[in-house]
Amino acid sequence: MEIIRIIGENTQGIFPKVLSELVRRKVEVNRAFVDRSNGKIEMIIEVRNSSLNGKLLHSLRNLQDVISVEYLKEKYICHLELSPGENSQTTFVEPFGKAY
Amino acid sequence: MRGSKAVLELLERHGVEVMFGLPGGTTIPLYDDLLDSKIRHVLVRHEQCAAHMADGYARATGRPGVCTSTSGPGVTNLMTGVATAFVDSSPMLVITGQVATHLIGNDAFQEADSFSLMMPITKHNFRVLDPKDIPEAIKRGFKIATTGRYGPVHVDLPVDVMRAEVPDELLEKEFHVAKPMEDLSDLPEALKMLREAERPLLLVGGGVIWANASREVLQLAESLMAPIVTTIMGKGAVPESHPLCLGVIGMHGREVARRAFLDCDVLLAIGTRFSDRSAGNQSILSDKVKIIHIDIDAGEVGKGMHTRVRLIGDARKILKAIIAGLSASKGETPWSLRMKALREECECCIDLGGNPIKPQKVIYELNKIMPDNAIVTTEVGQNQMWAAHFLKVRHPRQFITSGGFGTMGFGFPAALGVKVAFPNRPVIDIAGDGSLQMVFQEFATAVCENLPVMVCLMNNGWLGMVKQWQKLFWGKRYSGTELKNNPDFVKLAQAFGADGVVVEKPSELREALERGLRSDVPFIVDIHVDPEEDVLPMIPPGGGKDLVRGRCKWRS
Repeated sequence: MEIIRIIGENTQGIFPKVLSELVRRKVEVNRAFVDRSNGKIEMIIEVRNSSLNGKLLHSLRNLQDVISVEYLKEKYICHLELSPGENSQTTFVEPFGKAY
Repeated sequence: MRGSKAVLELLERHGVEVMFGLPGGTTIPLYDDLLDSKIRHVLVRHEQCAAHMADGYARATGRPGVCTSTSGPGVTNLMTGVATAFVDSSPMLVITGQVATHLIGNDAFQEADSFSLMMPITKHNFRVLDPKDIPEAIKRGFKIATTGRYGPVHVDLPVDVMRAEVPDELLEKEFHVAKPMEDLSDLPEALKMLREAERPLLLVGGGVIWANASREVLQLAESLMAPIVTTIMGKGAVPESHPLCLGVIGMHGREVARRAFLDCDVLLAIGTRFSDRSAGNQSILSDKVKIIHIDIDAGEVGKGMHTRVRLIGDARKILKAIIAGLSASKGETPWSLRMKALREECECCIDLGGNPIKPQKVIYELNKIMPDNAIVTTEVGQNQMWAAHFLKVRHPRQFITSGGFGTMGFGFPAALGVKVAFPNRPVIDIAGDGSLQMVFQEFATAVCENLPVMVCLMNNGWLGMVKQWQKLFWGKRYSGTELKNNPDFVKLAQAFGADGVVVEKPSELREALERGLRSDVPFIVDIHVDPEEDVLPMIPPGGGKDLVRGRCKWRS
């Protein structure tokens, strides 16, 4: 499993577009968290990325209105891993500096 | 002004001269305002063809094509054409009606979730729920369609949004679209590889045509004395009569092109995504082949091939930088001389005078009589591959085909879209009887709109390409491929007000084609070709080094 962080302009349909892109490239999506603020959207998505690796980042980056895409290290999602049943607001703390 | 009027006003400001479509309940406001617009409307008989016509228009002109349909079934009919354009990176603005906003999600009459349906087959899409958002959807839509890698953009317009008022001042507002990614940091490495290359080869894809980079490709090839092979989408990017052009590569490509691909030491791939039908099977390439990949889509660079060097950005700009960086030109090299010699020796031994007529004979005749300014479209299947293999294309945008999606029924409506763009140029659709029957009703559109294209029908009574696979790889077990009750195509065309002629002997062919080119109404040349003829040579599905060659041989 990998965790991908995607930041984009908060335009209509960007989140389903990202999911659609992942699905069409045979990437399995397990969980996703979305935060919208100040005209931006931030998506944290847990995926099984098959063999695409870095190419997947390029594909997502190339979607309209996507600003950045990166893999997150596993240590940053320990709260999510340990308490998947918890409310998403309490799961992420670092390194983003705010709670999700 | 009214929302629908604002849409048309913005289209006019973007230079739109024609819109292809078919109205319905949810697009009545748009059609009402169309009566007072300068935009020409071409009424199709099936929405799929509206998309293909807009696509053909876009491919021939380089400008976005515009098509429209009503909600629900209008949208689902449109989708095959939109997907065809998406896969081949063709810019379009797709405007669909939608049920009123208060009905969305209520399973209303002719309601479909157009926004979600279009999402995976468009570059971007807008669902306009507030009339104030119409200017952004249209203005950004045009920019997105023609920025970076081109593609179709969808705008879904609920009927009440089209009927509502848009403040005039909002039409003046500008909207930002981010510039596409550019990365030329590997340019020095690319130059070094090209300078040291002993057997360089240029692989040219459709991106070169969209980027208008043909001149630069030729300049670089001549500078390096590097042979050029093209994908089917890149066909025509350089004149196929040029001594360095080896023709189309791929499953049904020319053997000399494949030989160059296998033997090169540095492959410069420009505007191509290494499709599985063209040059995607890297396992047959030597590990020593170094690949430099130029593409405007960062998602494509390195997606399918292990590239050494990746240059992301506009092909024309990058090629200019490479040409400037290389500075000195090479003269003839042993490699260039060897490829030129092989080019002359690559020959299919076909009895062009034989009866029944060989499909290749049709292409040979077209090569002789086709005016220089003609534009050719194709359907999909054997007719497309014979055209790709044998037709000598002379300039970019002269050969228009559904390369990636392989849509049967593309060629005829696309030809009509081309004819709308260039009414004074001859337009020829190379068709098969299977493909043409999917869209034959558009003869009505062709006649009504005075679009005298010539349909060059290779009629063999079969879904020929599937039959060929059944023959070669499935033990000749023909299932569902014989078209047993083909109509009289000429009489059918005449019923629409068009004209045509049946050709059954090779000696009748030239005169029939010339008559078709001269015709001032849409014209079908129904050529009864040999049903047992296959498209060869052929790389079997799955790739490998063994070709199915048939009678194709090296001359010496």
